Amino acid sequence: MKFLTLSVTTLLAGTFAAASAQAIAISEVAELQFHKVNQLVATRKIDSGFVDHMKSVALAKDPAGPLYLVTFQEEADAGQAAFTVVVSADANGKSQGYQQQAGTLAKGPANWGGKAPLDLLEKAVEYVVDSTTDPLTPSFRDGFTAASIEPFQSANGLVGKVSVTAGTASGTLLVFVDLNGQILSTAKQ
Amino acid sequence: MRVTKAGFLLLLLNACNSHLNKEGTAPTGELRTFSQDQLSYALVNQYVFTPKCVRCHGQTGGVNLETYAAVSQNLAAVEGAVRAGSMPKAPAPPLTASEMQILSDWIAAGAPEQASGGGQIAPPSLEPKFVSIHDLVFAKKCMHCHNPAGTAKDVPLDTMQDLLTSPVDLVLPGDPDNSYLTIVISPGARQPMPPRSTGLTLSTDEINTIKEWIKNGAKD
Repeated sequence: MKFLTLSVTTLLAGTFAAASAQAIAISEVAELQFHKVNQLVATRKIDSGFVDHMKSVALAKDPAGPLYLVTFQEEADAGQAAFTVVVSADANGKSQGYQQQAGTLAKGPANWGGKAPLDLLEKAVEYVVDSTTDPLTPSFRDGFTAASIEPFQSANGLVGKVSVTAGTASGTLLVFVDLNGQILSTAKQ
Repeated sequence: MRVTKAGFLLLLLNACNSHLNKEGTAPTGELRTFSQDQLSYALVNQYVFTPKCVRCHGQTGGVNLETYAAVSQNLAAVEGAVRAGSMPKAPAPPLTASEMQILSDWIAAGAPEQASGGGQIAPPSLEPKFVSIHDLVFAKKCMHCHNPAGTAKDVPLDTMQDLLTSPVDLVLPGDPDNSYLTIVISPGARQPMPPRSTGLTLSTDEINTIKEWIKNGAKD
């Protein structure tokens, strides 16, 4: 009986420890760091041009500790290294710091009709986090590793095509988002 | 007898809505109350109907709550819906304990149009205090989305703790310039809050008051 009680207690403690260690889906950890980038841009710690050439966001566990490292990278100009910002965040998605890595801010024209690809990418990741009806999203929500955006000419004009990958899912989730940030459709590739 | 009825009604309202408010009180733990002779339609309209109801129960809603006559006509339905906890309907934020108190006191007093004391309550002025900002800004302009069932449920604004522990650094006490809240409400924000499409953009006075509260340390 004592053993059973101890086992149940240990099991419950383990469950609570896991829950407190990862309170939110890891895709949400990534999504929350878009706000950090906005904060860094608004407070002029990062050049505002960063949002206009945004290409991708990737999430990985920090090998040196309990934090996540969320890497934002822009589309580099030809022959240049991509400008990159890495935000560290805890399991609740709270930013712990950021680091601007070597790379050159893109100067080339942004091809997004005056919209910021950072915002469109954020909308797509938000959709992966929040959608409760799309059967394609759950494994990408819980196993999110990266998302990248590229311009896509649809029948109705320019839209964003966001490719999402996850460690727990095979294939790539495609999220199509219009320039107003509305999700148009999803597909699995 | 009136006091007993008001107390009973408040108990019922609280029982129905207690799950909706973490502390069972206003955000800072205070209950805003008014004396019997101060209760009037204007007061309830100012504290309850306008911020919490008329967004849906206005010109376009089925049950209009914009005038004393309309509210009087629908008083039983209002009382029943609030008592049952079915209104305000999610994702609109629930009534706070203070709002329930004012509404229940007013109904128990016979839902008077004019205050029996004759005096008018001066509209509350916005102060650099959390409860004031919560009631006069967040409740009116933000909590339609920022509530437990809203589209921005991940960024709640209901308690001071919500702001101080937010993963997006909504409030950094003493540092309004780097607080994400002031960044998104400031004119020219890249991703303004509330979104421009809502028409609920904060006034300069509201923005400055929030900044002042944060600058003062966001203590109360």
